[in-house]
Amino acid sequence: MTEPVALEITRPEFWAGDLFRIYAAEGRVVRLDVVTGVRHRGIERLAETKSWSRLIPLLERICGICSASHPAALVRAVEELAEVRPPERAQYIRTLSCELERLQSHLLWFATLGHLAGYETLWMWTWRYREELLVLNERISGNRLIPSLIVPGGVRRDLDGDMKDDARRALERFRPALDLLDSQLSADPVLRSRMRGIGVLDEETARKNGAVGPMARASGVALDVRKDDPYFAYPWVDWNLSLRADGDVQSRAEVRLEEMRESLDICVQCLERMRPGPVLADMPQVPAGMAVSRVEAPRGELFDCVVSDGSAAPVRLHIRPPSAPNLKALEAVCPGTDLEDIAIVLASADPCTGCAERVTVIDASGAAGPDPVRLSRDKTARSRPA
Amino acid sequence: MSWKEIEKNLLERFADDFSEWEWSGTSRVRARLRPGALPATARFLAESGRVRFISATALPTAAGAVDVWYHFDFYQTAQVLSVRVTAPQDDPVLPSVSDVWPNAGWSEQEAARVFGIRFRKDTGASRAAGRQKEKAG
Repeated sequence: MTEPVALEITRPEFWAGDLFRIYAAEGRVVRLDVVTGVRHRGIERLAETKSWSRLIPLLERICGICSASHPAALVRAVEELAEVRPPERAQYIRTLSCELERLQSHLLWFATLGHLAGYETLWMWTWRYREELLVLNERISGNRLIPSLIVPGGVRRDLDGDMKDDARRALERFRPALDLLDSQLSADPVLRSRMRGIGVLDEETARKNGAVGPMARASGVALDVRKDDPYFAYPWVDWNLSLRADGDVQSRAEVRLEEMRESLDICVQCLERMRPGPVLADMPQVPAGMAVSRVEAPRGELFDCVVSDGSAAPVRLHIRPPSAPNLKALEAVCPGTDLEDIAIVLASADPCTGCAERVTVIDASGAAGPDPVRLSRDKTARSRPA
Repeated sequence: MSWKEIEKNLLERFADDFSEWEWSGTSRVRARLRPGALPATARFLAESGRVRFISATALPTAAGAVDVWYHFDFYQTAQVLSVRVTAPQDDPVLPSVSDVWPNAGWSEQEAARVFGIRFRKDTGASRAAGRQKEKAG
């Protein structure tokens, strides 16, 4: 076999600076390294300087697509420490916000899939229907993305007036998108040929690498925090877990599509079942202690560990996003993959560097390690066309 | 094997190594473990087939040492087990569990970069010591 060649591939238009170092020989991937540290923003360190309520604007900017999930994980931990039970209506609104996020995130993923498969029309279709969801988000929360709804103790604002009926109608207008995606996944032979049998992650490897979310469920691992460790209004609504066994890109697409159908039904149930009432409970001072919490973000289990010393800000906030173990699982999946399939395989994990970015120690003298600013400039220089 | 059985077997097998075992609510357990017992404990949990590594949180203590909390999930339940090991201030070395759980490597890398902890790969010597203990137990 010829000596492997290292390829550094960046996809700034979708993944905002993911850096996958791919070693390839004879048209196949020999090894994949996930290299992080260039988009580190000091979120966890910054969190130690923010009061509990002011953490929300910080955390919802970790990722533009998981901007409801990060605050959701935080408030779960904070409310456990403070022994606060948010009002029932707030739990339904939180669930609605989280499921709307899942819908628009999965739609964005389908757009990426279409683009990488050369199926630009699919991208345009998903973008048209995603607009319905973003307009609905704006109606409910005031923002298209980054809803800023979930706060410690409840939600920041209520659904009032005609919002519920408007939301129901918007969700029904969105429903044909799922049938359209279903028809493409099941009937389009070109799309299927790009996904079926590609990028297989078997169940054992998925478990060993700690894969979560659709990446795991497509490999037969029945993990979902909404079922395993229910929170918000998930115990009060009816929905089914989406599971496949083949572990290929097609399976991941089918799981996401099924999840979107379930999300739509969850949203409708939340709108129908929520009763009038308050949406925010009083929050006492957060006492000293440690709490762990998790939520099912669109990419999988998002885990927070929060430590308080009884003061106004956390002592420690540790965030384990779902993309971290999923990127690790990709390192196991990619060897043996044909180079022409690698983009779709990497995309099938729905990686998010905004969430998964790990730490780099900053030392102006350069003594402690690489300077992240220089790393970023070097990476930009490598990304420019020759 | 149920979570209760795993808990019982874990506490029997590593009775001398756990100094704390505390329930918080119905689904959260916090424990303190001797650092040298970490690889064997990790292997025991992995071999149960029902436990999953979630993440590891490094947390400096007031005394100047660093606690590393290893968080584990029991599949398809709300159970989270958080195991604390302390890296001493004068020699911050802990055994690595990334051979057992590959995704633990990222957490260890983070703890190494931010808090200066060195993670030592498990050698055959420590595995042999674990087997000796199993035979004796």
